[in-house]
Amino acid sequence: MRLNPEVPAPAAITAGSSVLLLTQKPMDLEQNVVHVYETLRTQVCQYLTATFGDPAEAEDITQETFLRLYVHWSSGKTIAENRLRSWIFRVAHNLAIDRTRSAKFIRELASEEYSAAALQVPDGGSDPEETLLDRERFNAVRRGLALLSKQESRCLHLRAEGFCYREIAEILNISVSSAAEFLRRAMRKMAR
Amino acid sequence: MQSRFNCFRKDRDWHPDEGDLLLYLDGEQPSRKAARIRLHLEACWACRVGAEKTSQTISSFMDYRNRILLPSLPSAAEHRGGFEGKLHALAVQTPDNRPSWSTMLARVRAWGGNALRAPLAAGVAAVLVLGLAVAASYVWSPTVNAQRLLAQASAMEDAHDNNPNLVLHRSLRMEKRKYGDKQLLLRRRIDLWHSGARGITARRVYDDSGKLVAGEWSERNGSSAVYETGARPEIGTRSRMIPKVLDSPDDLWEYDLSAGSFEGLTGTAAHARVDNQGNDFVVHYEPRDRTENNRLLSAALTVRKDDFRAVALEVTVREPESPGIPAGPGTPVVYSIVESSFEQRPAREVNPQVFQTDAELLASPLPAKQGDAAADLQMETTYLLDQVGATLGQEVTVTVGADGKLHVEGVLATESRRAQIIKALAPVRHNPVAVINLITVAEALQRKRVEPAVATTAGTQAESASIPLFDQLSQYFEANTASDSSLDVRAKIQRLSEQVLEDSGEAMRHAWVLKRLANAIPPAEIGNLSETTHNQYLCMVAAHAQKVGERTGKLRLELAPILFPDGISPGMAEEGSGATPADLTVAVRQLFEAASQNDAAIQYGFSVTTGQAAQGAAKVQEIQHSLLQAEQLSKWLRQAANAGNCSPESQRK
Repeated sequence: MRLNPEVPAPAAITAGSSVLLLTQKPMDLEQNVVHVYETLRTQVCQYLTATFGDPAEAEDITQETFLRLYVHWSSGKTIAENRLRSWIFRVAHNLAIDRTRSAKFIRELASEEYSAAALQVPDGGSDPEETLLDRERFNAVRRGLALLSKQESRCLHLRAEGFCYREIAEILNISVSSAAEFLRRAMRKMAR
Repeated sequence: MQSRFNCFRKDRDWHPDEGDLLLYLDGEQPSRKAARIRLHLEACWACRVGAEKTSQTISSFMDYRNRILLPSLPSAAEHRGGFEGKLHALAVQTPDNRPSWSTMLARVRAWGGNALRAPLAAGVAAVLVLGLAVAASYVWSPTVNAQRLLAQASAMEDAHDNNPNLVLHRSLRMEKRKYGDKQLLLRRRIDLWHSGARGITARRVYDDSGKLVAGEWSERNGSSAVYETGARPEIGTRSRMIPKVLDSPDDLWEYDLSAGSFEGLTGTAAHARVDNQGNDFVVHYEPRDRTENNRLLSAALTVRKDDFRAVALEVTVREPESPGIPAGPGTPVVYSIVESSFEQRPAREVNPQVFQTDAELLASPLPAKQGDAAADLQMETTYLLDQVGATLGQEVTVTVGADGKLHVEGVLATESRRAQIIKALAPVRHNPVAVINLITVAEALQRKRVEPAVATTAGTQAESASIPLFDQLSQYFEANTASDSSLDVRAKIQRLSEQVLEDSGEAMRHAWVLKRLANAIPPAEIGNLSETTHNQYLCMVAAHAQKVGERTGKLRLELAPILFPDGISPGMAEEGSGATPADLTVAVRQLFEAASQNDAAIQYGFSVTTGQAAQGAAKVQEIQHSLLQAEQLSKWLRQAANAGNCSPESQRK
């Protein structure tokens, strides 16, 4: 794709704040969507994979999410700056739920794969004792993750992405108190 | 003193639960409650330990997430190209941003807020209804922007053209008709092959009877060689294509059926119109300059909606003034190019010969016997070029033109290379029969700048891939490697593959030189060459045959212990002494065939691909056979050429 180098890139999008330009020429809009995609795609894709499984589906949904962002903006609708990130996660989450309902997601949480990955804990240095401790610790986390319900897992991963409770509630379409409760339960199971 | 230690004694019977602590740690507690918990934690070791335990759980999870989970998840980085393509496709089909209903209504309301009075209410309401109806059609009728459509189609073409794993094959039908009654004046079939890996495009043109009448071989750097039967080759650049086809529209077959070329023909297409027709978009362009200076009257490009591929072009041009053209000078004629078939094939499955120049096009444009002097000069010039390696890769062509002169033409990579070649040509440079036209790529591009090829960022090979012969190679190296490291084995396989591919490619380059030599002079005329040039001819054949033999022999030695453990022998070459030039020419062509087969089999067997291991074994026999044949033929040729009195002394004459 030939990008217009004269079009200034939008401001950086960080976990806490998002910037977006809403009244632009089509090509600018495309570039900005690409910019947002590049900034957030990994986080979105990783969240979807971690909580729904199937990386290929996750990538597909991630792309569809950002295409919807383009449609949203090109139709003249706006998104508050500080809500862009949670908007994207919410759309991605809803798309994933839709696909789960229509059984398009081949696998639900593929924890076995991550278990296998956990067995290959990278060396913590030259200290074998440290490596062993890491392995024990990660095994405990893995066991805890295996105990989580879907909602608990989603809340946990979204919290790890830096979302506050209100944003988690928005993304998952639940109340803030439910988000808090899911997180509390998740922490309890993880701490066992 | 008591106040110093008496902190919140009244709160000591209250303890935050784990939910409260988590909310506190996450900064989600209201400020008053957060302050209370903070003070409590200062006082209560039990709760502080609980909070620290929660923090440790969070810490362990985040550590696990960052070190284990995230690295094992897909990065999605390799998908960017695909996303941009989808986005651009969406953008093309998405209506331009229009004022929304709410905005329009708000504007109407703002305008009419104070103005609406009872006497005007009915009229304003009618205007409002009409306005809304117009707005509805405006908002709900998607318009496609021609520039964006062409840009998208062009981007897709670039992605296809630069895909190293694919070869594109298109068949096109070109017709020329009278503007008024559509009477057919000319029909051609165009067969086009494009290699993404090599950047080569071979375009062949056939007449109604299926006879090959012209061809063009172009490279990614823009250099191009056009061959037409009965004419000397035209060496130039594709950048001259647009003015050329307008001056000589019958050469429209040289024009790419693509969005990129359409943009070149129509400029920015800023005022082009797009029609939405079923499965296609049709971009209509009519230049604003309607004077006779502008030959182009109109152009229309059909682009498929599903893959943005240009599939049809129709241009109406003023026929340039030229005798013998039925339409007459200045009369509009309509040219059309329509795609009749399109396929993308894995590069390894395509015979490399489709990219080779056809012998009938390479044949001398002078069917009548050319003068011995010209033939000698042609051979001497070819020999001089060969001495500086300019015959490898067809850098420079040497042909006898219809004017009877020897044309030495080429587009060279650098100025220093041109200087080197001109220096090498010193003995013939001042010969009045020789016309030397060597330009650099930079000069060619300066004449009319072409858009540089866009390097694709998409489609990088991210799949886990191997080579089809991996299993055989792996077994061999595992059995013969002291270390049991699989990395050692992989590294050895990679090194061997690179070496084998290089050797095969080098053999092929020399085989090409041999083929061009054989095509340059008809066998019957070789005997008419002077002794010196005859010797030069034989020396070149011997030298390049030797190179082919060396490389194929090297390949045999490299591969024999692995692929042919039972051993192969090149066999005894037939005696070459006394061979006639016709035999030599036949042998050159056979050697070229063998080297081509060998190169194709090696490219297939040793190039990284996916899921082809099972078929790798089938290539072993093919490689063995073609290696053996190429080595035998090269030895035969070398002996035959040496028997023709080729000696180092004669080579230096």
